[in-house]
Amino acid sequence: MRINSSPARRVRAGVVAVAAAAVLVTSACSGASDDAEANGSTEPEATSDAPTTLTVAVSRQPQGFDTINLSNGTDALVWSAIYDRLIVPGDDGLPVPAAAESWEYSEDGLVLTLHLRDGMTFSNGDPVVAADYKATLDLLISTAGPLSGEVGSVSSVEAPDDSTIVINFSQPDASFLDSLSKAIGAIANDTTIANEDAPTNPVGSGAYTLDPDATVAGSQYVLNKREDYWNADAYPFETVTVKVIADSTALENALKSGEINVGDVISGTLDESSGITATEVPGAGLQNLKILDREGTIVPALADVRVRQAINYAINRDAIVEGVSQGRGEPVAQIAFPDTSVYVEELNDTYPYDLEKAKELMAEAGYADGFAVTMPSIIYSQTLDPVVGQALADIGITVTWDSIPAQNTGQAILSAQYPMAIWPDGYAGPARLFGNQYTENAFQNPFHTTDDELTALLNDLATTVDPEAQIPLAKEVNAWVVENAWDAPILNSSRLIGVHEGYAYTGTTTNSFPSVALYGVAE
Amino acid sequence: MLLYSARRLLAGFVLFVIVAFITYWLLSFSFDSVIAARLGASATPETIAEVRADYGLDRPVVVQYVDWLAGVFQGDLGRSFYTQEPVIDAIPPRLFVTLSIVVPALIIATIIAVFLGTFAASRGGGADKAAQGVMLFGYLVPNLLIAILLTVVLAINLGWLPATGYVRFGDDPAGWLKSITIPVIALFIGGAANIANQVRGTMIDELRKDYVRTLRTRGVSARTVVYKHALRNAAGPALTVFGLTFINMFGGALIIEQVFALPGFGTFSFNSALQGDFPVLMGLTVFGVGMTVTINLLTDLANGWLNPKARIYA
Repeated sequence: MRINSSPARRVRAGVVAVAAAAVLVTSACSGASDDAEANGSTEPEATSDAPTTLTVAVSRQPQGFDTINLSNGTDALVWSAIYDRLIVPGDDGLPVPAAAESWEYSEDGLVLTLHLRDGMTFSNGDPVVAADYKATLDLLISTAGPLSGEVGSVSSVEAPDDSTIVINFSQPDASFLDSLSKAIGAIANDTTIANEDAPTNPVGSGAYTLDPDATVAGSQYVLNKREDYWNADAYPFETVTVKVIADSTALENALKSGEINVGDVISGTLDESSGITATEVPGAGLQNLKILDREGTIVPALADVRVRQAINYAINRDAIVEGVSQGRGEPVAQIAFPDTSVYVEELNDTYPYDLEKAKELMAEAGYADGFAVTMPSIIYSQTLDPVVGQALADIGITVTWDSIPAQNTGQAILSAQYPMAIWPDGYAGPARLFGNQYTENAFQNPFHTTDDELTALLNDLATTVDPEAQIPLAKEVNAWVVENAWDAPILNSSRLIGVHEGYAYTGTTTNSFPSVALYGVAE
Repeated sequence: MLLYSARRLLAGFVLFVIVAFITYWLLSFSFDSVIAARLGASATPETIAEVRADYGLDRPVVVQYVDWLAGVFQGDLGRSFYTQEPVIDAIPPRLFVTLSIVVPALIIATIIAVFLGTFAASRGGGADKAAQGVMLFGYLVPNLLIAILLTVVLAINLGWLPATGYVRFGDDPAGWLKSITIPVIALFIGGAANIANQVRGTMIDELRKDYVRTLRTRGVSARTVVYKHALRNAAGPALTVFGLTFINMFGGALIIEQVFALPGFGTFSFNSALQGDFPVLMGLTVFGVGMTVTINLLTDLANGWLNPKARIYA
């Protein structure tokens, strides 16, 4: 995290920052070290004049608050305050204890045993026991929904006693701990989980409860602190209000007028006397030119690695960062996020902008005259479409853009109609980051392209349940993907967050999962 | 009048059934896309088919529609595909938010428009030109610009009014008034110009008519001639514009709602359309058609009340 020294730093519009916000909204995005949620850690002690209320904003109305409909996007700011999660990500993205005090895997990685801490209660007074999480996970497994993919490897769950949860897997799942620190790790109350009003009146064991009287669906969600929460000291705010402000100008107006205490600055300026400090957080979202048709099913040329490499050489990443995102972001040739353990700075030098080299590679591959592709123009790519189209045109690749309605965005990838697509992505742990993109049946691999060497690397990664052991394996995958130009990543944008005097924002690249725990009082 | 109203309502109902079916039919083409978007990375042909079956979307479209229509008559519009809120509960509060800004804006616009239009028509000359200049200004200045300007001055610089958000009337009436003030100002200006122009035009026509000359020769005061006789006769066309302005303001409220982060009908419709939230979109169709039919009926009835010659009912 970089902190701008001047609170009055002029900030400019960042279209890629919009896309970064979109990433936060639309994708299972971030790992976070919600230290305040973790066992034993606390926020700074609030002084007598320290603020006791916090008002922040999200850009989209949260979805249902029942555990099968939870989203890992900005909605989590509300639900992660209401529900305890079994574990939470630490500062480095690795899991640390939360509702589960400890856990261990069996040697073959097929059994995960978690031990719940004592003394937790739901907001209705019921004690939190292992059977509650069993009911939560059973419902996730049996119901097709947005979280189905994250529990696909779970074969059964048991609760042999009140504090022990045993999860059995059909195959080792390296992403599972990362998932447990997000939506599927939320613990619902066994007795209320099936209530008809569960989506709007959630009962959790988290640090806050949703105030139904003060909450206005679609406008603001008011959370009241539970003094009987097991880690209450870690949360300095008695009341947290989450407002829904979709328009970026309105968001900044709310920040400037003090209606919200912390918020993203996407355009405009911060006044010198406003008392707002701008904090820049890198790794907010990847913009990736995905080369989907790597076997040349629709466009045979893309099966040739030289053509894919030529595309990478043709993209002037530095110019795009400066020109399109006003310098807010890192030019990258890899999908790993800056400031994370898997990121290898040197890999970005693999494809410097070199039009001559790109044209040579095209000629060597037999495509000196180029070829034509059709690409989807999605809501998150529209600002990059012209520059990417021009870069491809420079090496003879003619792009026809299909305008995709917002609700069909996912289908644009899934349908395997498009050989390439500009696609945003949020931060995820190593196994999920690479697994979601390159495994045979991954969402972002609609042509189901495989390569023996890559498959072996991905299998090693996918079956390594120890998060620390995943890092070197993920680096190997990262290097292989860059070398073979399976994609042409463009940039990884940064967020600029405005923070009012008295407040603090502690999020980083690996610690940005939307949570009240990321907000504190200034020391 | 009752028979006429009943006939109009019946025609409105038939219109609703047809419009709702067309909407449902068109939405049915994107069911798979919407489900895939909702499922995100969990979307596979199997999970998409499972969710389709859960929502009964694997049946013929006509069967689904009839099923939905039967639910409407029982007050069940389903649940939002995204937020899981019952649609019947989700729409009225949002409608109230939008009406909170549209109705005051329309009332203010009408009062200003009647005085401005009448003033321009009855005075003529320089006063008319000045009034037309004001109307032109109201037409040309985008309400978004006014909204931004007022926000910067009144909310950010002076701190008198909130820059964003909506306060429910029941929670804090003064807060509610503050929260709608800038949106209402931004919204009424264009509407006032629109209605005023219509009032001016029809008033000029009326004031040239023989009965006006007769009234004047009998010594009836100018004020009575203008406001009691001519204005009443000029109200018909203006009323039509009034109805259209209401519908336009309802549409224009979307931008205002976005700029001020108001959880209104427009924002809700816009977001639901972006997400393809079909249960909500169908619910919005119910309310939208119902409102349009009602407004048109009320406009016709008011028109007849004001001008017996314009009565198209027995």
